[in-house]
Amino acid sequence: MAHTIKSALLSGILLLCFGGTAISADLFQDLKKAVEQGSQNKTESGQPRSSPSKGIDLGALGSLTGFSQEEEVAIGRQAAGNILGAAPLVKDDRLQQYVNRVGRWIASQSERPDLEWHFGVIESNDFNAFAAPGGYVFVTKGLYRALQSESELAGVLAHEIGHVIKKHHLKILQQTRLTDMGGKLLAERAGENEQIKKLIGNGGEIFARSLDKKAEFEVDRVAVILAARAGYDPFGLPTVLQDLGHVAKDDNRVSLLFKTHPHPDDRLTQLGEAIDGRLDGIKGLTLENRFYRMRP
Amino acid sequence: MVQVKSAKGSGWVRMLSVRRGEARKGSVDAAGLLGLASGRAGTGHVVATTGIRGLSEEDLKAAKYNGAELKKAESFGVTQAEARKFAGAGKLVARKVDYLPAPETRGGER
Repeated sequence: MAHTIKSALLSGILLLCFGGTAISADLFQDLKKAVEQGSQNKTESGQPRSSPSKGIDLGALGSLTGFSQEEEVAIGRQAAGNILGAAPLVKDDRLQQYVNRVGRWIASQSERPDLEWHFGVIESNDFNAFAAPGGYVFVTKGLYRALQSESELAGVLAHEIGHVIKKHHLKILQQTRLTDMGGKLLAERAGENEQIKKLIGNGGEIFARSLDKKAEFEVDRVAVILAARAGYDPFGLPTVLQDLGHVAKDDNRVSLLFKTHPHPDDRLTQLGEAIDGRLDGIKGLTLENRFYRMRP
Repeated sequence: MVQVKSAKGSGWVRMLSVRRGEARKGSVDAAGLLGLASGRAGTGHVVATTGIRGLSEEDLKAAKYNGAELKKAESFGVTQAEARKFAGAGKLVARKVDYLPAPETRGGER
């Protein structure tokens, strides 16, 4: 597949980027008011935050995301539910179980092993992958079919995991929304949370937003290391990127991926400079034989 | 994939490129994606094409929350212990490897 795809994943990923279009003028006014009031609340960073009725503290902006893990998961659930509304899971339980095992093992090597990570392969022939806050990661069927080994899947999942542990989407959300919606971003295990829905917007537009190129290069570096830590050949991701780089730019299957990510060739160049021989002594398993092949 | 260097710079070379390259073209492009795109899968019989679709920006924006599908996705989650057992079955051994520094800084992220 080279030409196919692979990688996409990688990038594609991403995340959710909570788009700015979803925020209303009223909300911004509320936020502005909250800032002026200098309200306080407790944030993940340990800084004070306002009570639900007092708005937000912007002191944490620019540093950590300002969202508690509970809020992060609630946001991620909403985003995940939205993308699943556009592309449901592939109806293959063994496939879904397999990607969850591979993904959870890799995530266990990260700084956030205790998140309730969820992985899935979704119905789309595009070459792409997505990550949502709180540990929700999805790979398209098109990209999955292009993979040839478990280590390549590991590379793709690790890139997405990187976005989650680096909280790239939450940082963008914080920058663009500047609010905690009055402190009501509380997790709800069932159903939609209207406040979160308001925050990230309807649909899965956050998945169509681009992240900073540096963020993509950063999680590419994270991905090869997480794969290496998990015992895999660390070059699964570079292999996928190389194959994606062979896909024609006007191929519809990579249009969104290429729109939201640096070209695979640029990513390989950046990754090559970062690795610079550092992984020469690190071997790992590719596990082609264990890789779960989707039914035709 | 291996990274190689020469006087002209560095680059990437796929190990066993010929064998793997051929395998990929056959397994993915020809039998897989192209077969689906043509509405035929493997045997030449015309099959349902409802699964042939991409995921465009417009699709994402128009998406409606699917709580039932989300619950199903969450039902496939596994514990760390299960993942560890799975890794062991594949002879995967965890090891300590430091994160890579950004090319510009070389200072390390970790």
